[in-house]
Amino acid sequence: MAVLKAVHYINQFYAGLGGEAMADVGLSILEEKKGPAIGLEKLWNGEMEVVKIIVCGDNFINNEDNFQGIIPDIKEIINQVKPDVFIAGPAFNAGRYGVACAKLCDYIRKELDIPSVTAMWHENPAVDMYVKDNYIVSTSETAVGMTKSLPSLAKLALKLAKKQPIGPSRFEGYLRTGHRYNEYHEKIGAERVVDLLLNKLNNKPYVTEIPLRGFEVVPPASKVTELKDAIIALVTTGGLVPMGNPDKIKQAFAVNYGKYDIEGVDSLNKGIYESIHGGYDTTFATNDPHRLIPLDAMRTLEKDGVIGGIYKYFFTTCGVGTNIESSKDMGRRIAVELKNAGVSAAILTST
Amino acid sequence: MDRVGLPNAHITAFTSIAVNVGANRIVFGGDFTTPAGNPELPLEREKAYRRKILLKALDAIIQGVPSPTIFAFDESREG
Repeated sequence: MAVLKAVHYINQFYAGLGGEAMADVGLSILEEKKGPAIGLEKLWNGEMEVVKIIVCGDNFINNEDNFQGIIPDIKEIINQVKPDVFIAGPAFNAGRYGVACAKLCDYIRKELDIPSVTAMWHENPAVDMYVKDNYIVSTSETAVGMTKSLPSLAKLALKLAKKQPIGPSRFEGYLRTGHRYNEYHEKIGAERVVDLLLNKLNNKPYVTEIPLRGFEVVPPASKVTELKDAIIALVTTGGLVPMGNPDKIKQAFAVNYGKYDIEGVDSLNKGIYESIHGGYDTTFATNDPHRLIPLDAMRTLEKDGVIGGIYKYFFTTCGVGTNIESSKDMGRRIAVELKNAGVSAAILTST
Repeated sequence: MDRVGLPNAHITAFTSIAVNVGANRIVFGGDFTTPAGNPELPLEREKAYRRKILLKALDAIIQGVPSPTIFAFDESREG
């Protein structure tokens, strides 16, 4: 069998050009082996070799114009070499290097259809940006762990080059992508869940099959100082819409939100608004929409001078089975509108 | 909203979920299907109760918090 071919990407430092002072250097190609490629080839025992090393400075490649500028060159190299795999890094916890590695891997896999893999510390900022669709092998935080980090990278790169099936992250050593695949198991789900529970109750090691998703932590906004001047917006995920749902907001798995005019309106009455939420019994909410958008009590607080005013629209969607990315997108759009409109704070209700 | 600098109060009966997803100012609402109300009350008392929940929410947004905080509404949902 012919020896498999890899193309490897490294930064100015690993190419021996220099450190920070050389971070602005542009694209170059090395024909001789430098940096981690030497260690990787040893681990492949002659089955694969690094045929070309692409080098670029960390500052240079992280400028979007520069990146777009070198893409044609990289494309040409890849099309000419036709590697079986593209490898970048390891970048450890170096932020700019990590982003460059992951971005190139993403591009080469997606646009040039070559399997790709990089490696870095799990907290490298590139992980959040690219891990969803890319193989990123877990490494130590610094290059001190190079020797320990290379075997998993070498192994996964070789498997990708051979087009072998890639197993779950915990066996292959890459960072969890969040993708799930079906597989056959000798035990049915009921047996596996009882095994898991027994291990958990007996303080024995166990591995969950469905890890809980971690949520992004956003620090709290600072408080409102003058409540009597504050404009407050009302938002709900309880699915309150005008009768007939004119904007066709989905009852579940919503991807959009509605915004409805309440300027000069003192109450939201039954028969004019209804809840179309597909995840709870909406009878009580439809009977009195204030249970979701408490406009009546807010108008009283406005008249009493407790708050300065109420934003002229309320916002609404259905929070059930809603995809995190859709939720973030809706949240971002609502937040930007409120901020631009000079709103001071918001009150949200969730069912 | 917190990211763009808009303090916000999240009224819900699922306070544990609100903490878990990272809402920063959380107010315990009346019921799972009626966060800003309680259908078991007569209308006027429900309105009074709703006003109390909202005052608690406003109380939350005029306070600084370090991380997700539940503002307990110490009532047996009676307004």
